[in-house]
Amino acid sequence: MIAVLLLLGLVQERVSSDARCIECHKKEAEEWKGSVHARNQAGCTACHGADDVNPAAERKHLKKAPFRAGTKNTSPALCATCHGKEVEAFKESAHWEEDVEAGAKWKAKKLQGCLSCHDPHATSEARRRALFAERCSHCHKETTVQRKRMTAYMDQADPFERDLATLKGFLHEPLPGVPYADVEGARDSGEEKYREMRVRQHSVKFKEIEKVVGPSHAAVSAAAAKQRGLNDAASVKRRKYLVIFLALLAINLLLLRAWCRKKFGGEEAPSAKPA
Amino acid sequence: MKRLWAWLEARLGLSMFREFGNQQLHKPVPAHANYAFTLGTAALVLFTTQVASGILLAMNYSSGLEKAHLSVHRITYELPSGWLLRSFHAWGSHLMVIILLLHMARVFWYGGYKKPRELTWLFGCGLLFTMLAFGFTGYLLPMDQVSYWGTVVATESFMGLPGLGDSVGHVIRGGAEVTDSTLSRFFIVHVLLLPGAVVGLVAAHLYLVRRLGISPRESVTEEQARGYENMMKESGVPFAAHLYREVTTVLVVLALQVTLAMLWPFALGEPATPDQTPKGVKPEWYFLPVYQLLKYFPKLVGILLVNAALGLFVLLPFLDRNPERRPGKRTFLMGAAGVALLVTLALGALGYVADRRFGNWEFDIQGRPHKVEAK
Repeated sequence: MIAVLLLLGLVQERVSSDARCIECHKKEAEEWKGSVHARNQAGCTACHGADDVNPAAERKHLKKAPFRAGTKNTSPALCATCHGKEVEAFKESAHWEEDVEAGAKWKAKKLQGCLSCHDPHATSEARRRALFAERCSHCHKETTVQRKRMTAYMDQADPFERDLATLKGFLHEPLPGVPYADVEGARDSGEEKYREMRVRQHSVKFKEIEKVVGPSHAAVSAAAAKQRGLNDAASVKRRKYLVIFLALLAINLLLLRAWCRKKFGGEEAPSAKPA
Repeated sequence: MKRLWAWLEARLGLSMFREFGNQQLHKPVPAHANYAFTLGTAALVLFTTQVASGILLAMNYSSGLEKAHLSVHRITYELPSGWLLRSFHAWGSHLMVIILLLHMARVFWYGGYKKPRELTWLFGCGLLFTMLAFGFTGYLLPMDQVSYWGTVVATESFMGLPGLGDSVGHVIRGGAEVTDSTLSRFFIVHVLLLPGAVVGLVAAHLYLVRRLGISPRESVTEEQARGYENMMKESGVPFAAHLYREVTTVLVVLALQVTLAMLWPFALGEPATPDQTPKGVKPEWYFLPVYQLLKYFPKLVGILLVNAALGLFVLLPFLDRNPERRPGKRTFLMGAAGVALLVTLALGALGYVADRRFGNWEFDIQGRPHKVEAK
């Protein structure tokens, strides 16, 4: 009995580290690298759990559960362990179906809960416009009301994201020697609203989101413009001083060269040898 | 003015210096001396501007784990023109390495390291390594994430080597980790020991340059047979006739340094956080070839390779027995140097792209490209 257990122990390994998974699941591992999950150290076992493996067997994973925790149909429940707010917002949407296990509507429309929009391994910060163009348009055609609302939402969300990134860039790595324009407040509230927008967009109640985002976007844009103005003014001033400095240096250079040649000789006066 | 001069002359004997200056101005240099022969002077002037800007920076710098970043933040963002001073100093360090490398390349090209100028080359190598040590120690001083982790990575190269590796690492770091002891150590070395070493090395280098003169184009055998003095009497031109080139290069380098500092000032990153490693940490560009080479070999082999290459470089005057100086008559060495240069540039480029992403291509730490699907 002990010998059998030992033998079993030898052929089985506990898949408790991602390094072991990568040996077989190379494609998924490659996709996972550089993803938001990878950056936050959520590895294979964070979603799939651990399992007993017999690497020699044809069906290597010995148990279906808990390894099968991360599957298509159970994804919202699983994702909610970390992304609770997003799943809550998703539940408010018309896309949600209460009976997660059955998932009849999703199956009928070939949807997969969270995975309809997000790739579980290559989870990048979902780009709204690309996402809408690729996936939403399968059901929502060009002329539908939903598409028009989406476009209107994107036209607000994209510049907001851009302006916020600009403002954060100004503050993260300010131009040396240029004063701050007291824009930290706008950045902090903008970041908060941006996070809220990212969560709320799972509810697809776009009009409601626009009301939240609109005023914050205006404040962020104004702050970014103010800091950009200060940076631009400083750059113009610096270029002006630089041109003056270089011009003075060039004049000095010409005078010095002329003086050297006159006093000591040069290419034009090779005869200037010591007396 | 004349009376003032006479007054000073009676007390200080200034005419001795004037005479010395005149002698130097009229000392002949080979007629082939062109702009490439002005890089040594440019490096010397650059060193003096580095000392001047360094003194002004040190007046506002505090060495200490948290104080260092705060003081550099104050210099960069609050002190009037502090950003310009810091950027001028930082760009100066990069320009110094570039100019010294070009200077040594010129000496190599013209065979200037050959007999009897072996010691001039050795002191020159000493100056190059001292300048690299300046860059290495100065890199840590702002104590932001990049500089802190860059120093961690660079000093780790010494650790783990069999024998003295750990001890050397501990001496450099002032302990097992990069801490405020390391910062104090680097600061003192940067502002006190290295400048002293440079002054001594420059004095020795300049003395030898003035004593032995700039090497002629002719071979070592011919120089010995005819005598340097005689050759210069026949074909040399006074140093004064070459002076306008020196002035031109110095002013152009100064203009470049100011332009770089004004248009691309150095910002300051987040304060150093020892428990949070940022992605893509790398040492300064001039250490990248060595840093990358060490990734391909076991540590001991890598270090031995680097030391062997440096040994070949430093001992070149004693290893290269060919008396010819003209590049066309030193084809084997020129070819070998070309290959070495290409390998160094390739390693530097691999070091630059390693652990970075460019479009759809991601480079791993060894610099191998991997295609990444657009997300």
